[in-house]
Amino acid sequence: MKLVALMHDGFREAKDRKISTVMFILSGVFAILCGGFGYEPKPAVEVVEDALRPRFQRHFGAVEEGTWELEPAGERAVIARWSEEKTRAEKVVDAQLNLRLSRGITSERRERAGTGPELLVRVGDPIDTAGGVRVYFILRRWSFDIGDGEIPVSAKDFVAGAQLLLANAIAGWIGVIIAIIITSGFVPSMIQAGSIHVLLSKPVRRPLLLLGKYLGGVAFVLLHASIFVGLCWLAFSVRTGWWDFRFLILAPTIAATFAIVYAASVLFAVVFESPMVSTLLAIAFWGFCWLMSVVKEMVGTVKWLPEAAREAIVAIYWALPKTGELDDFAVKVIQGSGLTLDQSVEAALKGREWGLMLGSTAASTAAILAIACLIFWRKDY
Amino acid sequence: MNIVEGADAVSVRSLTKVYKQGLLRGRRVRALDGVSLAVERGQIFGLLGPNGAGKTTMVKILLGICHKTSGEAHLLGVPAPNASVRRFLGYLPESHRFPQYLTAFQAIDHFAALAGMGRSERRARGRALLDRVGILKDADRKLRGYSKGMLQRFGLAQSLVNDPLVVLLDEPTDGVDPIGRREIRDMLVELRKQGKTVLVSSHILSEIELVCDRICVLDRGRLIHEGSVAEMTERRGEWEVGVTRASADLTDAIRAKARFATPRQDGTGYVVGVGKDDEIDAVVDAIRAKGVGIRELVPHRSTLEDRVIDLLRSGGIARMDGGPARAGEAKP
Repeated sequence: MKLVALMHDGFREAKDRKISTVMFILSGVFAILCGGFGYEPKPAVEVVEDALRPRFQRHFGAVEEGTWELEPAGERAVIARWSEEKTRAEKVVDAQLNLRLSRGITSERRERAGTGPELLVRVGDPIDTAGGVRVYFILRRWSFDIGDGEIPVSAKDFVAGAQLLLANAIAGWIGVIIAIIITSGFVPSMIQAGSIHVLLSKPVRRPLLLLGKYLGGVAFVLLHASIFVGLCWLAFSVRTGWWDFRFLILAPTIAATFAIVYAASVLFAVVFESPMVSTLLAIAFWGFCWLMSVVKEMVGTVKWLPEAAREAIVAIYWALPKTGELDDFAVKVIQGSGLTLDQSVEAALKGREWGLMLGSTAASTAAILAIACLIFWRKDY
Repeated sequence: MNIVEGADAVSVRSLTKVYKQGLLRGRRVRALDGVSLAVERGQIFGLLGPNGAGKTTMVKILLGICHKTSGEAHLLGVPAPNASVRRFLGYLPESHRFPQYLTAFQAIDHFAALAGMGRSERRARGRALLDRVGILKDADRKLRGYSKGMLQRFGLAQSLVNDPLVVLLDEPTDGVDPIGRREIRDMLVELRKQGKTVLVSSHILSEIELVCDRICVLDRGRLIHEGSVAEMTERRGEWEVGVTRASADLTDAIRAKARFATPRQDGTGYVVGVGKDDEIDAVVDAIRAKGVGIRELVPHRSTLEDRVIDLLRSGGIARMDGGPARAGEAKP
């Protein structure tokens, strides 16, 4: 009950500072931005032409008029015909188009008396079909074709790309930094003279006071990360009709990354009793952890490095929390296009010592908190 | 951990605290220097001394807010610091800082929750205490909107939220208006009637004098006096003599029988000093022999403020009764 009271207090403090309101507004703005994208199906003729044209251009330089003709054959199918004289074109069609035009497009070669060879091209669901949609923002006149060029994009591709941007930059970096800044005052304000004196006079052990504040901050960020991710996911899903749950993995991974950096922030807050110093040092610590991940990957390729230095780098890497790997995990899960959530997670876990990574990360974070509690326990106020 | 029945409310022995200060913590400041003291239960005990005397440090050590360097400190018979025994304590710090983002109701509920109280008990107790200190009608307002006096009242309420056996109050009337001060004094007396022990640290010695049973004076970390208020304010061998008619002739007659006789400014009598208490009889006879009536005859007392200032100016070398200082001496 005491722990709950301390966590609840953290929420109320954040609410009073209008932090929750700002976070709700930011989440709402991003959800509106995500929901502002529209996905209008392209006519099958346009999709097929977009798929054919680059190939012909690559082979012939320019596409002459009359090289082929497209005739709608139902809602999502097109018949492609070309003249017998254009044998070179036929070869290209045989070699490439007949097999696979692009993702979501299938074709079937047919011979029809009098008209020569033709290709029945079927265009799949616009959400899945590469180049099957015209993406627009808010108003249709602000539309843009992501699929133009060599890499046609489906609605799924576009959403996955936007989600990766949210995961990598918006939430994964900026979001965590904002969360660190807004929660950095929790512990220093608690240990201010006058405030800490009242709290320490209550029958609560010192580590519980600190852990209560810490867990309150983590719960606060988990709540807002869930709201942010949930709203963005809902906006994308409602707009596209594609309900992919993999993006939701971002909320716990953001909270986990925050929990690691916030533990360092709490430690620095206990030592220096300054929100500014604790924030800067916590962000520097986060950067150092990321740097060590990069250095550890590179260390195997640097031949001239002495063995002792190599071992020291690896030891430091394992002693530190692995925030970079957490981000990497979330990105890989979200990137697992065409897979279920379970399959994506399984694919993301493949090839790495995840158990050891997560275990050592949890142990490092716990050690940082333990040091913070020890210093807090011994300090005079 | 359970408290020890019959144990003193507060007991410290040879308590020493040395703060390490400076960049490399090389500068040492001795805030408490071998203080020994005991406060019996059911008393209002005044902790006096100038700034930096060590009063707050002693209270902080008892509560576990800071750690002792050496010596012993017990609260209700239990070695301090002890989180469990703090269930029986209430504390109002001098420079308090309550959560500005909470209303008085929310804040007192929060502190009650930290004291381990259940929800229904918290609500009832919180409401009753806010009413008792006179801020119930403002209890739905956030504390940031409170005046200093209101915050002081709230502070007193939060210190009592867990129905403590021992209440430690640091400058409880700071910033409170005269009516509020009176109310707070009444509350302290009420707490004593309920059998609670109140340890008050204050610079307003006139208030301490009004409510405290016993006091101690600390100076530069050392205990320089401990005793009852009456004992401290009484001036041995000095009497207030009220007469019907003062005159130069009468003054001379009294002075012939006494060490000194100082006429009151309003001409209603004298402060008379005698060698032994029974020598006042000769003074009375001299007054009567002059045909002057006696209206009052009471032992002359100083204010606590005067006595503490005298004590501090003398460097705490002499006790109030003229005996040697008992710094470091345990209360029997």
